Amino acid sequence: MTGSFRTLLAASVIVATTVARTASAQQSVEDLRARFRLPVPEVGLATETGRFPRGAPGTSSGSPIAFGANWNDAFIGAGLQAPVRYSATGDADGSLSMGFGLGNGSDIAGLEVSINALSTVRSGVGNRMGLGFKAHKILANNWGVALGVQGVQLNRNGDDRNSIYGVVTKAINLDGTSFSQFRGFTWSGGIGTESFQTAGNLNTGKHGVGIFTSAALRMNDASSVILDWSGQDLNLGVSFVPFKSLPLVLSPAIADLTGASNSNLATSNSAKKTGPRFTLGVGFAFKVNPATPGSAGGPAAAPSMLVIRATATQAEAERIAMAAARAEDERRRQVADVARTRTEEDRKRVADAAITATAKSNALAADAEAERNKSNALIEAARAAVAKIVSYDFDQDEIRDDQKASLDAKIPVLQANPLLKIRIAGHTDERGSDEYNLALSQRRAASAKRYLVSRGITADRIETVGFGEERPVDSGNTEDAWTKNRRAEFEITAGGESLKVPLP
Amino acid sequence: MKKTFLTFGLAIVTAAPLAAQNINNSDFSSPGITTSTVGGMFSPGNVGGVNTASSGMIVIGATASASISSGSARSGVTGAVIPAAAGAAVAALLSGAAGSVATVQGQMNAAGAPTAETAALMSALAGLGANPSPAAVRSAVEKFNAMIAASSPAFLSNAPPVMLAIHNALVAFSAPLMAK
Repeated sequence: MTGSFRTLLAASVIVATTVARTASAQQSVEDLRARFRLPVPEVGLATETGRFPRGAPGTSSGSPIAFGANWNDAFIGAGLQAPVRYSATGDADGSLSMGFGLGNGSDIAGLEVSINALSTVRSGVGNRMGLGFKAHKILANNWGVALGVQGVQLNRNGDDRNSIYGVVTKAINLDGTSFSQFRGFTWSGGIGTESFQTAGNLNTGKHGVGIFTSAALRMNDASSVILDWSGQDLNLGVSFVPFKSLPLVLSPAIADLTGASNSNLATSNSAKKTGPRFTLGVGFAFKVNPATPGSAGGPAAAPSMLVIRATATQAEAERIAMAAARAEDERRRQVADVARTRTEEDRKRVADAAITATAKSNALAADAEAERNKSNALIEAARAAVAKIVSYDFDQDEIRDDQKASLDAKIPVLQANPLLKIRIAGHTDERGSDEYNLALSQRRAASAKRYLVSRGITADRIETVGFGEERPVDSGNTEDAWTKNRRAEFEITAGGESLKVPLP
Repeated sequence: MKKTFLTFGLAIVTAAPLAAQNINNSDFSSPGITTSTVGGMFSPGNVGGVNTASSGMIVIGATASASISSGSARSGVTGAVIPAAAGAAVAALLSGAAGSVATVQGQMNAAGAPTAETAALMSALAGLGANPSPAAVRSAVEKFNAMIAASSPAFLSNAPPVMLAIHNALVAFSAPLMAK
């Protein structure tokens, strides 16, 4: 492995380690967020009806609204009015209804199906039967839209007409508004045929359309005030839920508040003018759990398997709360254990990884440093080989055998660095004339050049110069000093900046 | 309650089958027939009844508030003991006590919580214990998660005790809704 390759490898490892640490940091952030993030509970429209069965007061008094029953929702109800609109005797009238939901208005659509008995026990519950259907859809921002039909008669004794209607409803949460003392406001408006016409049109046999609308102000959890125009009657009523743990709704109202409807009728037939009437609606809506408690749900296998969750009581709610609290305590302990375990594991894993990475990095860095040092040493050695002097005998310019090794050491460096150029400077001792010594020094430089050229180094890379006795390395006049001064010096004049070390 | 049903049942049973019912439209606006009486049960959001606070949820809210302010509660995330003062501050926030929003929000912001998301979370938590409807709990959880998503690693790594208390409380509030 060459030094440069190992250096590159070391750099790559360092970069890879940095990238890995960055990715690990990002993963740690996501882990942190995941630990805190909470699962969002699914809150369906009727979720709480089943588990915590408090009912809600009505939002209209006689006219349809755009919200309706969904799958698993069911209801039963009864209506009472006294006196009845056309009664000449002031008698009361009653009705019964029951229904259920299919689909889900918050998904694709829901379909509410109701069966109505317009006669009760005395003339037979099944004697005057009608059906109602309402396809309803929840839109954004608590808007709802529905298309329905009511009064679909199952027999010919009915007291209603087959009427089609469309309705929109807007539910407004008043929390956080200047009306926050109230819970909410619901408005509905629609148009329908037949039964939604005015009383006058109905009794003159017309088959037109009419409008209806209702507004309900929910005063608190348990009650609301309702103003309703049903198409014939202006109704003013209240609706309230008397029991916290039972979804029973009572909706008394004064129908035909102004008496205008009856007045209209009184002019069109001979019925008694009864004036405003009292009506009462009673409803009980509940959620039918099609599965045994604790299961994931699914279609009901048989009616006997149905669990009417509305029968849950306050004690049941508290039991659930306590169970939830216990479960939460357990979960918290487990989460804490897991968190601690994960923390310990993570810490150990990160520490181990860090130690390993650091050790590897340090080892590689040390190798790289050693390699650099070695490389530098080799370079310096090469540079020293080039600079190593050659000594001569007294009054001689021939290369002594023991000095040839010094010249031979220069050859591979010069070969490995084709751009390298040198200058050979010849020197003499002090004995002899200046002129003689200058010529002798030039001959000594030239002899060294010839030796290198004879070993393949091109002559133009070697410059020679003679300094005679002018530049002694030892100014003494002893034999030892003279020996030192009889020499040829070698100096790099070009290409020495990035000296390459010759291959061994 | 039996008496109430009995009285109403008798009224229905004894209501005369009137001549008015001979296709003269006396019944069509009956609240029962149009299902208007129970219509509120199917209304969405807090306006209708199905998402309103229930007695069971309020019990859970009280349980959560009591547990986080006991001084011995541990964070479900870090396992650290939640100081009683922090738990009490969050319990006050959940009960809608005056000044509690500023107290908790101040501690959150001082620890580096994202300002806007924290403010939204405070609005969702204020009074939640007194009216822990499923919709309100869901909203609070969503606000909490939004705050977490916007939080810096430094904040999450050194979460203030009030945030740990909030997390515990929301876990308690969510538990019955998640267990259905």
